Amino acid sequence: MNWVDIVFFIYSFIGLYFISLFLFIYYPNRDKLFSYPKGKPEPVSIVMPCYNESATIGHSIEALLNLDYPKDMLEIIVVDDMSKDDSAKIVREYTKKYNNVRLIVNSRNSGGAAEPTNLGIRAAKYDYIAVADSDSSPDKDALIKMIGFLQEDKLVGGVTCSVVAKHPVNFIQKLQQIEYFVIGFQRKLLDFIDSVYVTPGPFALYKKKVLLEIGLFDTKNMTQDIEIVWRMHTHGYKARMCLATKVHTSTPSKFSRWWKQRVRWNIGGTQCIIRHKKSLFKDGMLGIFIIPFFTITTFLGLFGLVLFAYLFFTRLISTYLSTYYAYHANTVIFSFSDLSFAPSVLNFFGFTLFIIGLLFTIFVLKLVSDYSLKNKNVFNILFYHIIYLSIYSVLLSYALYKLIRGNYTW
Amino acid sequence: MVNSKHAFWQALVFTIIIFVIGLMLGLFIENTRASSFENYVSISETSLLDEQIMNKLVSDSNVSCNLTLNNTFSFADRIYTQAQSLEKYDSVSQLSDSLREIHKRYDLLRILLWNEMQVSQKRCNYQNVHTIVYFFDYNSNDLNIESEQTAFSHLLTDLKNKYPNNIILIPIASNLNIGSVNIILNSYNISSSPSLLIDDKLVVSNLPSFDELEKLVLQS
Repeated sequence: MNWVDIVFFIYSFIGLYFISLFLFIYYPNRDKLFSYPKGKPEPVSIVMPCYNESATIGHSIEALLNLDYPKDMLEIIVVDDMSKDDSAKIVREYTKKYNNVRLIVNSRNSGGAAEPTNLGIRAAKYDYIAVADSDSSPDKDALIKMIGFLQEDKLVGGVTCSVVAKHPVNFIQKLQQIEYFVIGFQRKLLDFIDSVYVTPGPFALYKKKVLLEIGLFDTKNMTQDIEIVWRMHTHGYKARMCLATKVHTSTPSKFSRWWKQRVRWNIGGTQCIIRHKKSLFKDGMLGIFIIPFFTITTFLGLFGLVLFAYLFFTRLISTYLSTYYAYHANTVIFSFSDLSFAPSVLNFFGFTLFIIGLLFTIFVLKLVSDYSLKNKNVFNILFYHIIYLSIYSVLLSYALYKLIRGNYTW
Repeated sequence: MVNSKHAFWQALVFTIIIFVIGLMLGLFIENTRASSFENYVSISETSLLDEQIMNKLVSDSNVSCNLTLNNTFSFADRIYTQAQSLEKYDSVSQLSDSLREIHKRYDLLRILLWNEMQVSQKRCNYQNVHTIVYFFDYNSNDLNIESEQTAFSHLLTDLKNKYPNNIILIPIASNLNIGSVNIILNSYNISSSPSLLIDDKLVVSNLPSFDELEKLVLQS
């Protein structure tokens, strides 16, 4: 075996380990995936940071107003980050119509969601804080199903729910739809090992006391919704995941916007690793699982790209040389006798891993959604597995490059 | 909430078990492949013995030379085809060195065949029969050598297809550290692979064109 085979072996082992881990968490907890502790309604302030969201802000506020939750226990605070469009004007109309809707306008454009969110939290009246994106709409039962997680355990600082793609129309949105379902399911499984590592921006519920204690959202981090959870862990708190409800969020409809969003996520994830590196093997599951998990996947992603580039260029050089020699010798470049199918044990491992991964995705889609396995959807799943996930290595490398250069914005 | 932290160990043990099963399965498949080639080698060894006896009969009893020539061709072609299929398995990742050892045995068989052919050629003085010994690097990691070898291989196949009854191809790995191969390489001053030895006289180390090779072989 050469070094490429050994590396491939290690990749297969780690891949199989994580799939096995998910299966071993899933099986004993399969009846509890969609369960949630029954909570009693308590007043909640919903903070919604907003920047240039005139197209969606009205719909998002309506969705919050329509939550199945006592209206006198809800306060909606929209914090406008100096939008250039009519966002503030639209919100002002709502403040006139509903006395539990408030508008705060930031004195400057902060360029991210953390600063306006922090402004809203400080201004909030109630002990529970929900943070919602201005392009997202939670299910009506979201709050009532989530609040019990915070009430049953004093060490739970935040709770998140399943994030799903809102009206996926084009191809890239349908791929994100698959991704969101899989990520949501995995997050629920991580909940059973106290390893929820993010409370995504579209909709999450927190204890205000905990947020203030740990110092609110990090305005310098590109993924403040990941960082806040890691900081909770360092203070002895944890986050929970409610799979019984969901929030519908807008997804990028163009590759360029998708790329920009994912680069930001990867920069933010890496910032979290750097900021919390001292927690490695400390601070409970943060140091035992979350940081090693992020670090390993980052390393594997980067090294995978290097390996791919090595194999690609080796093949390219080999093809060039073969063509050159064939031309020189006046013989064929390629003959059918060169074709052979003699699979090695590594091929079997790779193939098995691919099939298990594929089945896992299909299983998740059937379990958490009414995803139908029709022709187009099967193609989407295959494309997601083979191409979409592979792009992440390139994306990660680009994100790290930008991070090192210090050239990144929201 | 049910805490499932023991899943870390369960998953690790499960993954190790799957990997061990996979490795054992891989070794089993490789051994099965090696066994089938072991059988081919045994059959070829028998054929070679037959060849040697026939050559002896030719010299002792004045039996017609042509009688043995057809057998030699058919044996050489068969051993060449088997070597090609062995190389396909050689080129994929291996957990053990079992095929490498079989490859060595094939190389030794081919050297014996070549030797028989030399003896037979001297005795019978075959016209229009040419022996090409092809020295190559086994599992070369050098892209240049690998690509050049592919071109050499195509060239020799083209030539063999054009003259099926006139050319005997004997491919031998030059880097398997076989004593007899090293002696042959030294005696013919062959220092690089790939190289051709045409009719025990002419060494070709630079990749020729098809026409050049054809000319070299037919004129040798």
